[in-house]
Amino acid sequence: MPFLLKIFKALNSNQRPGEIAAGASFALLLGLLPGGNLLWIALFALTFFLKVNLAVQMALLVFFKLLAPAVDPLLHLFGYAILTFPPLYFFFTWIQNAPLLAFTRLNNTLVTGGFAAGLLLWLPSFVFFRFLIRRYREGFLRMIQNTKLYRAFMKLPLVVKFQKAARAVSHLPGRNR
Amino acid sequence: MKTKIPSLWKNIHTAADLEKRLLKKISLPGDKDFIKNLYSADESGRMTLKDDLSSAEIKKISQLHRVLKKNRGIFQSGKLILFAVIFGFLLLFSLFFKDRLIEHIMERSLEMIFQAKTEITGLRSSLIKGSLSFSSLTIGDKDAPMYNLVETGSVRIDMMTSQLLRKKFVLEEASVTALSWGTPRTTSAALRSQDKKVLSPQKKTLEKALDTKALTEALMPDFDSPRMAQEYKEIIKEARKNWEERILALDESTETLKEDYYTLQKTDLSSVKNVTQAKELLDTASEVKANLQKAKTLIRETAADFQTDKERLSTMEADIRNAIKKDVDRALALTGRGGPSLLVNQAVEEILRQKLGKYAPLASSLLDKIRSSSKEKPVKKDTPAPLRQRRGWDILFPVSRYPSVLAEKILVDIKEEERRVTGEIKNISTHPAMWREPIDFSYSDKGSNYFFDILGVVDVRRNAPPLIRVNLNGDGFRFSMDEPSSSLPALNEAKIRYGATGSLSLVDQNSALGGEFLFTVTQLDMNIGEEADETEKVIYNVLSGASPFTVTAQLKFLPGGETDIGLKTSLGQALQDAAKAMASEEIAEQKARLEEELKSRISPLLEENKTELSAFLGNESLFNEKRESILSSEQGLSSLMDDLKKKAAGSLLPFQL
Repeated sequence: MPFLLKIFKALNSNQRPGEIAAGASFALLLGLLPGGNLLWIALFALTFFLKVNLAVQMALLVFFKLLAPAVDPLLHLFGYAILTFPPLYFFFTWIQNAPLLAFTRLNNTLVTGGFAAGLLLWLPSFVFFRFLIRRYREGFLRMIQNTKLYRAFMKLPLVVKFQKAARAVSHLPGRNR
Repeated sequence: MKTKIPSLWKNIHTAADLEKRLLKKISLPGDKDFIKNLYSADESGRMTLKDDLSSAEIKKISQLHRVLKKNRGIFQSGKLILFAVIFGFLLLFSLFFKDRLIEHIMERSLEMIFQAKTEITGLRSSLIKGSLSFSSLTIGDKDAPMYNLVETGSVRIDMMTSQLLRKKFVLEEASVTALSWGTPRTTSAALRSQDKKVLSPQKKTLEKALDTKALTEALMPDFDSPRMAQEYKEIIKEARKNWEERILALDESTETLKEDYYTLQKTDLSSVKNVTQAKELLDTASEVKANLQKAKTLIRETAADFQTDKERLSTMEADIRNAIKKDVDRALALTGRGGPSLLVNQAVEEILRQKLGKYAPLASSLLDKIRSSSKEKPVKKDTPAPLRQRRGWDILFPVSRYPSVLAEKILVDIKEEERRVTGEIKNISTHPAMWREPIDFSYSDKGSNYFFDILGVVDVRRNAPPLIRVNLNGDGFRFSMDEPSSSLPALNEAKIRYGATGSLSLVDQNSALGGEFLFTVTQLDMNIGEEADETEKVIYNVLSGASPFTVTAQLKFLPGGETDIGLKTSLGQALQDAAKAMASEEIAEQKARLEEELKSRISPLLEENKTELSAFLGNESLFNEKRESILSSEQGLSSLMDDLKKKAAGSLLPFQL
């Protein structure tokens, strides 16, 4: 429940749309990238140090993880094309021989394909999600907030309690987003 | 208390400022409208904040200001600082305390092992690089505190940690320099008596906790092996008694059956005067023969019964051995998971008992619950099937593949007063074909006025032609004979100064090693005794005056162990023959010595086996004795019957006449 509240609050607060969009974009990148390798762990750890909305990221990560096997054939082809691209031969050879980088499993077609696709899609998805959030806040939310039904709904005792709970969650230590 | 309005909000003077510094950073339309309503523009377009702000408005401004501050930057500064602090702490610890701590732990550990003071200096370690080195190590001798057991110079161990993560052990370097023994110390190496006292309580606790004796005693009534051993004891006792009686009965039976034979044996054949007497005796002899046959059959049957009993007892003994193993397994199974966890469980219980006092039973019951719950777990039927793993293709790139175990360099350097011995071996691996370098080794022995070097290569990689090569180089040796040589008995002392060079390598596909060594003797001083005869004196004189001369040794080692040694020398054919003969004599002597040594080593074992065998056959020999006795009786009877028949044939003639 606090998890959903966090997402709801993030969407309906003044949190930067970029933070939420970054969470969604990282979810896409991590979703496309197969797990169980150092690259995935490093990227996941990185998000803890960046101002991204982790609740949105986690929720969408589950969604993209479920969706990813459907695009695996494409990712495999893309990864294969990159790995067999002659100018990159020495780069990948170096990675394979470097002490820790070998554990990124970048010699795997799905890992490279997923990572490259995730990187390429990161910026467009960031722009897209930010646009969606702005549209939501400026259009849909404003429209909803101006309806009589919404105002009446917001005065319901249960909703008031819900809002209080949301505020309480936002003030819990370590749960400020 | 009145809330203060942040200065940012007061310093908005233009519409552009308002847009850039506030409105752009706020997303919610309602909040944007609120901010816009806070400001009013005069005729010149200058924006000013309302003067008459309500407390609710000021509170809202504070809230929005906090949001603005929070939305700055892209990094989580708090987490980053925390990470930097932890990282910095680890770095500081690594730089200033880690090596000291490791040094201290190593010193204490070695002191515990050797029971004497141990000092390590200049220790440097790196977990990332997988290296450990120190400038010196001294381990005192507990029996002679003013001397060191071992002393070393610099020691270095470098491992490839990246390969350890791949379950491969790659040792880049392991070197020990200036290794020496029994060096004097300036301070005593004796440990203070307090150090010993600290260790004892812990040890006692563990000893008490690991009480397998108590466990065995507790489970003794449930074990099968003791019961079987008792049964075996009774059966073997009964069998021994039974066989004593049977052997006595057998003796009696055989003696009874042989009685007629003894009577017949005592009969004086000269008293036989007619055919009737002869016939009677022959009839008696036939009966005796049948009785002897019966005795033979009885002995055979008894021996067969003995074998059956013997096998039965052997089987029982084997069953007891198996039962012991099964009992051990059962005991382990009863205590939980068996194996080492049994001892661990006991240790845990004992430690809980000692540490928790009256609360120990409660902790013990909790432990039991944990154990029983862990036993219930391994039902894997209902576990959901794992998610389909996303696979792809692994594209292979050339990588430096390491064997499972590789030692790139191992160096040992021993220091002894004026002598220095250094041995080095490189590229030892479990998979030589996988590693790019052949095995190199070197040995160097340097004294104040001599040196001796051996360099070698062994290459057994599949993609390279097999190669074994040894190069030898030396100069300045002095050779003193403390004991007279067998081939040169009059020679008391010989001092030879010579240089040596040569190599040994694989000469053909049959794995034969061959090579040539050139020894250049520059000085030869011989001191001979008075007992030397004239010929010997001549030879010694020739040798002494011949230097400098060269000796070329051509060696060939065949796979079967045969050695072919060829010698060439500038001293001429005679010296060559003498040297050859000497070499052959030496080899023969070595062979004889080896044979004698081998025999002397094996003979106690052979004697032991003989004793064992005779003890084993002790019972069976009894039957053989009986059998032999019957056989000798039969032979005696046959000769008796032959005599009787002859006698009868002789007696018949006068009656016919």
